[in-house]
Amino acid sequence: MSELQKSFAKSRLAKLPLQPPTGPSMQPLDEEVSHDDDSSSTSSTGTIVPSPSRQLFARPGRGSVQQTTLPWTDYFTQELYLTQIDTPNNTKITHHVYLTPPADSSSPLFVMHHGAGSSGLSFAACAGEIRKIIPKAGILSIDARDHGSTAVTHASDEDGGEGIELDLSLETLNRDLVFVVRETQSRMGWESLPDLVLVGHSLGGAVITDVARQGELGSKVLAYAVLDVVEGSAMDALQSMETYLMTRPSRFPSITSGIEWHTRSRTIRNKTSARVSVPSLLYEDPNSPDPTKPWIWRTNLSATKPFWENWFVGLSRKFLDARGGKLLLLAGTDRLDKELMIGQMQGKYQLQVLPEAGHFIQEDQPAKTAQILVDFYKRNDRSALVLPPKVADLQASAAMKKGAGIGAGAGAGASAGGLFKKI
Amino acid sequence: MEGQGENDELYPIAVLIDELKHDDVLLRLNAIHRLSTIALALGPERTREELIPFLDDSVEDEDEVLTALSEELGNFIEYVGGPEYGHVLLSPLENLAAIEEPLVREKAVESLNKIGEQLSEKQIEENFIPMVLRLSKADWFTSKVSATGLYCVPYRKASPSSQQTLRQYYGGLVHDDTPMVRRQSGNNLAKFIKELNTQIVIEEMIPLFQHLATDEQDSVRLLTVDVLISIAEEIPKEQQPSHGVLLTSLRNLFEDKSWRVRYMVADRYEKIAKAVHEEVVTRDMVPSFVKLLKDTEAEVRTAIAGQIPGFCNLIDRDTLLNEIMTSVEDLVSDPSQHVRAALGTQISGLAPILGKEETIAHLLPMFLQMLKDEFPDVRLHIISKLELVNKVIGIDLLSQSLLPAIVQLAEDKQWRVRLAIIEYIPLLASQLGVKFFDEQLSELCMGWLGDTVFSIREAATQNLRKLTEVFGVDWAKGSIIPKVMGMGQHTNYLYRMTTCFAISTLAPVVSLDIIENSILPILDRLVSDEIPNIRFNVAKSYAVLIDTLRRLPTEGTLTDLEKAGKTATPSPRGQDLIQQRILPSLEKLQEDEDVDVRYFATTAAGGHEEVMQTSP
Amino acid sequence: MIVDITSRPDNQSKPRGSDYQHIRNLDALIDQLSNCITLSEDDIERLCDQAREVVQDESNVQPVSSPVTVCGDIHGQYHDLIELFRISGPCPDTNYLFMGDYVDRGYHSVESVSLLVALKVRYPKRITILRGNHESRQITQVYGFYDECLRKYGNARVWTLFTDLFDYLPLTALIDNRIFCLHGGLSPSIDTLDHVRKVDRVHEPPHEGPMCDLLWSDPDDRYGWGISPRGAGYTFGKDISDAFNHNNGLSLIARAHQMVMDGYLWSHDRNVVTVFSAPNYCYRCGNLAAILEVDEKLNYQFIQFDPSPRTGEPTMHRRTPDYFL
Repeated sequence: MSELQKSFAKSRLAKLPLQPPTGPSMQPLDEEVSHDDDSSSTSSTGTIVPSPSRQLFARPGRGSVQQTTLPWTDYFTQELYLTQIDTPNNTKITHHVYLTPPADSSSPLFVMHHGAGSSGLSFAACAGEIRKIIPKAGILSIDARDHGSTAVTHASDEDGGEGIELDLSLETLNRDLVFVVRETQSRMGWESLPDLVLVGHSLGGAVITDVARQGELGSKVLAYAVLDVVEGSAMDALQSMETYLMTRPSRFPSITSGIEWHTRSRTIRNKTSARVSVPSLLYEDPNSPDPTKPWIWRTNLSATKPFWENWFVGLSRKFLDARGGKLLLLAGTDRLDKELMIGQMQGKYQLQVLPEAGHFIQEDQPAKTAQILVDFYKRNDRSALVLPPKVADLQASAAMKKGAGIGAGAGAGASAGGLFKKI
Repeated sequence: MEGQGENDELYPIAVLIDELKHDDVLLRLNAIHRLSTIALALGPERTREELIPFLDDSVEDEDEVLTALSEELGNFIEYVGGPEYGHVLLSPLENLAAIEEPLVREKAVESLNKIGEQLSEKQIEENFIPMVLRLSKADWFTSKVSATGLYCVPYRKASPSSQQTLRQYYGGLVHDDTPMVRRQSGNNLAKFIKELNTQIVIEEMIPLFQHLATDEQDSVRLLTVDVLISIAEEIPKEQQPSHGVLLTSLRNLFEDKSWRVRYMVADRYEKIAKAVHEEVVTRDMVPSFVKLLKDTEAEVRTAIAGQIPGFCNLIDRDTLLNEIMTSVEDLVSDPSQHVRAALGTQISGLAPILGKEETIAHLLPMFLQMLKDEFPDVRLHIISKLELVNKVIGIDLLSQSLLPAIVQLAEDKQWRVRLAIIEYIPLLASQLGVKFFDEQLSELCMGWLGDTVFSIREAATQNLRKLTEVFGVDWAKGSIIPKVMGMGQHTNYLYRMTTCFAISTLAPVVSLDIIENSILPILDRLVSDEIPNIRFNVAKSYAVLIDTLRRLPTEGTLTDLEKAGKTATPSPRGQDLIQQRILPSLEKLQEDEDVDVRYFATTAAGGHEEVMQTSP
Repeated sequence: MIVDITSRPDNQSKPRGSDYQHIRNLDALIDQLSNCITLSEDDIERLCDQAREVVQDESNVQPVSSPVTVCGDIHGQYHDLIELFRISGPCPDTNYLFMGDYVDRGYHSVESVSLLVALKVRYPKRITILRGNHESRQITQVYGFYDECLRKYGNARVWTLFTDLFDYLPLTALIDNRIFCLHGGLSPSIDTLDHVRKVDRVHEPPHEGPMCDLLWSDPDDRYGWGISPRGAGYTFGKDISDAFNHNNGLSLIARAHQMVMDGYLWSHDRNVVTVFSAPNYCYRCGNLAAILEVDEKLNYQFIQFDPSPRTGEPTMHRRTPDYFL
C-alpha cells in the first residue's frame, strides 16, 4: 500500500463516527443482502482496492431485482376468519387475522394493528424477527375492516358489500380489535388470555391506544407500543394528506410493479417486506378502465377522509393516561407535540427514534423494531421487580476473588456472574 | 503496492470514488462534498465523460446525499471546462429537480439558475429552455414544481419566439391540476412578472393572476397577494383605474373567507397601499383597514396592528382621526395578548403623525392602560418606545401623566420590564429635580442594588453613576455611597459583589475624598473576605482605582475634567494611596490560595501592559 | 491542567509569557462564544484536549464548595443559557454547577457546550460540569447534536471530539458534603457515596447498571424502587431518598433530567429537588426555567426565568410528515 493510500485510508477511518457500544438491537440490519443475491456485491467495505482504470465509475452489479412476492406462510403459522354479525346494521363482517400462537401459557402475545391503507402483513417481517428472539412468543396481526382480507358484507348476501356505508370510526375499530382478540382466544381454546403487548402503526397506534385507555382487555395488557404517529403532527399533516394521496399512482400493471413502486418511491424501504406486504394491498379489478393496469388499491384511502380527525384527536392524552408500559417508536426525527414532549421530558414513557427508517418502521427496519418491542416486553414483564446487585456486593466478591487463590477466585467470579443472571 | 506506476496519482481519487459508491451514507456524503477534488484530479474531459454520466445515474440515494449533490453541481462549471461546457451539468440536475424531497429540488433549482446565468444564448436556446419545457410537461408534479422556479433566468436571454413559448408554458403550470404546482407557480409568478414588459403583464399576466386568485385552495389564493403587488408596481398608477379586474380581485382578497388569505393581505398592507393608486387607498383601503382591525381572527388583527404607523403615514391626518383612530383604540382591550403586544410595538409610531395635542388626547390614555396590561410583553413594548412620544409631547407632560404607572412597573416581576424602567430613570431624574427624586424614586433605585437578578443589580450601579452625573458628587456622597458600601456587608456573596461592581462603575464620577474615606476602607475589609470570588473582584476594583488615582486631581472627578476638556495635575495624595493602601493589599492577594484570585491580583498589580491586554 | 500564572517556586509574581498567551487565547474563545459564533474545528480539538486533562482528575463525586449556582438541563438553548448568566451573574464572578444535558433538541448545542467547556478550561475552580444522559454518543445521534455538528462543520469530527470528552465528565458533585448533585437519580446498586466513587465512568453510558441509573432515574411518589417508564434507570420513593440522605449525611439531593413547569419542583418532603434550566423547552413546552442559588451558609433561593427574547431564531416547527395514516 502506498503512503498516500494509507493516509487516505486513515483519514477516512477518522471520519467514521465512533460506533457506540450497542446491544444486539443496534446491529445494522442486512435485510437485502440476505435475500437478494444480486445486491450483496454492492457492499463495498473499504477493503476493496479500487482500480484506477478507465472503469472508475463502474457500478458493482446492479442487475434487475426480481420483485417476486413472498407468501405469508413464511411468517405466520395460520390464518383465521372470524365472523361477526352486526344485527342492527344487518351486516356481517369476516375478520381475517394472521396468527402464530404463543408456545405456552406463559409466553406473550403481540397484537398488531396496521395503519390505514395497509394490512396485517405489514407486520410479517417484524413478526418473523420477534420469533427469532423469543421463539415461544405469539403474534396476532389483524386485517382491519375494509383492509386486506377482512370484508364487510350484507348479512343475508354472501358476497355483496355494495351500498354498505363505510364505518372506520375509532370506536368501531376499537370494538373490532377487542372482538378479534376475544374471538381468537375462544377459537384457540385458551383458558385465559396470554400476556398482551399491543402494537399499532399509525392509525393502528390510535386504535390500540384507545383500546388500552378503555381497558377492555383488562390487566392482561402489559404494555402498548405506538409506531410513528403523533397527534400534533398528524393533525398538522391533515391538509397535505389529500395532496399526497393524489400523487400516488392509482393503478398498477402487475403486483410486481406495485412492489417496485413501493420500494422505488421509498414508501417501503425494505424489499423483502414489500414483497410480502404489498400483494395484500392490491387486487385485480376485472372492470379496470385501463386494461393495461388492472391492479388497484384494496382500500380507498380518500374515502376514509371523514374519519381522519376522529382517529387522532386526543391521542396524546390517551397515550399518556392509559395504564401499562408505553413505548413510542418514531421514524426519522422526533416530531413530538407539546403534550408528548412534556410527557417525555417528565419520563412518562419510553421514546425510541429510528433515524434510518421511513414511516413504515416495522417494514423498513423489522429486526430493530422487533428487538425494541421484545426489550420493551421484557422490561414490562417483570411482575415483581428484581433489583440488580449492589456495587458493594460486587466489590466484595471482586475482593474475595482477588484475595483467594487462582482456583477459588475462578469460583467466586463465577458466582458473581451468577448473581447477575439469577436475580 | 506494486505496479501502480503512473496511476499512483489517481489512487486517492479512486478511494474517493469508491466512497461515492459506498454503503455508508456518511462516506458517500463526504465524497460528494469533495466532488470538486475528484473532478480536478480527473480533468475536465474525464469529468464530462465519466463523472457526470455517473452522477446522472446517482439519483437513487439518501436525500441528504442528493441535497449535497444538488448544491455541489451549482459550482461545477469550472470543473467541466468552463461555461462553454456548462450545459453538460443540466442533465443530472434535471433528474435531481424531479426528486420527491423538496430540499433536493430546491437546491437543484438554485444550482440550475446559477449555471443558467453563465450559459450563452445559444446554450439557453438549445439546452436550457428545452429542459425547462420538459420539466413543465412531466408526468410527475415534482418536476413541474421545480420548473416554476426556472423561468426567469432563460427568459432574459431567450429569443422573442422562445419567450412566447416560455410564457405559454408558464400559463400551463398556473392551470395545472395539482395544487402543489399551482402554489409554486403562484409563488414564482411575482418574480417572473419582473422580467416582463408592462404590455405583456397587462395582457397575459393579469389573466393568470385572476385564475390563481379564484383558486379553490386558500394556500394558492394567499400567494396572489404578492403577485398583485408586483403587477401593480409594474403598471403606472394613472393606468391602474382602467384595469378594473385588479381592483375587483383586490377587494375579493380583502374579504376572502379564509383567514390565512386575509392574514397575508394584512401583513402586506402598507406594501399594497404604496403600489396602488391613491384613490384606491382612500376609497377602498381605509374601510378595509378598519375591517381588518376588527377581524374575527387574532392572527389577522396582529398582522394589521403591525401595519398601523406605516399605513397611517400614507393617509391624511383627518382621515386617520375620523375613520381609523377609534378602531385602533379598541385594540387596547383586545382579547388576544398577541394583538395587544403587536399594538404596543407600533402605537408610539403614531405620535409624530398625530402631533402633540392629539397624542395627548388619544395616545396617552392608551399608554396608561397598556402599562397595566397583564401580559408583560405589552408593558415592555410601550416602555421601550416612549422615546418617540417624549419627542412629541415633552418629558414634563409624559412623566407627570405616567409616573405612577412607572413606579408600579419598577417592581414588575419581569426583570426586563424593571430593566426598561431603570434605563428611563436618569432622564426622569434630570426632569424632576433632586427633591422630587429623593422623595419619589430614591428608594426604588437603591432597592435595585439588592435585586435577585444580576443584570438588574448591574444596571442599578450604572444608574447610580448616571444619577451622580446629574445630581453631583456631594449628593452622591450623602445619598448613594453609604448604601453601596452597606451592600458590602450582605451575607450572600453575590450581593457583596455588587459593592465591588459599583466601585468600579462609580470611580470616574467620585472625588479623591470619597475614594480615600469611603471606598478604600470597605475594600480593606473585603480583601480578606472568605469567598475567593469577592477577593478577585476586589482585585479588579483595585485595578480600576489605580487607573483613576493616577489621573485624579485633589478636587473634582475624572468625568468633570473630561466634560470641561481640561487636564489637571494628578494629586500626589493619589499616588500615596496607591502605594500605601492598594499595592500592599494586592501583594497579599497575589499570595492567595485561590488561583483565580492570584491571577486577577497579578494582572491588577503586575505589568500594567498585561492588564490592558488580558482583561476582556 | 490548571493554568496558574503565579505559583511558581522560582518566580513568585512574574507570570510567563506563554501562560498569558494561553489565557488570552482562551479569553478570546470565550468572547467569540459569548457572541454565539462557533469555534473552528481545530480550536474545538485543542479545547477538548485541555478539558479532558481538567475533568479526568475530578472525582465521580466531585467536591464543590459553596457558594454556587446549581443549574439543570440546557439542551442547546444557547440564548437561554446566556439569559441564565444574565440572571445569576457571569462566570467566574458567580460559581456554577451544571448538572448535564447541554446538547440535543435546541438549535445551538454546539455553541452551548463549547462555551461551558471553554469556561471549564479557563476557570476550573469556578465551574463544574457533570454528565447528563444526553452526553452520550447514542442519544446525540438521535436527538440533534450529531446532526447539528454535521450541519455546522460538514463532518462528524467535532461530534466525535465532544462525545469523547463526555466520557470523562464527573457523574455527581457534592456541595460542602451536604448537597448531592447529579443529573438523574439514585440507583438500587448504590447505597453510599463511596459506591459512586468506585464506578468506572470513562465510557459510553451503558443501558443498565449503576452508571446508567445515576443518569436516568427519577424520584416517584410510590415508595421503594420501580421500573422506569423511560426504558432506562429506576424510579425511587421517599423511603429510598430518606435512607440515602441519612446514611450519607446529606441535607438534599439536587437533580435535573425532568422538565417541571415551574423550573423547580420539590419531592419526597424536600429530600429531593428537580431543577430544570431550559425555559419553554424545545420552544414549545411553555415551562419556566429555574436555577438554585446556594450561598456560603448553604441558604438557598430559586430564581425562575422566562425564555430570552430573541430575534432571527425561527420558532421551532415540527417537520410535518407527508404521510401519517
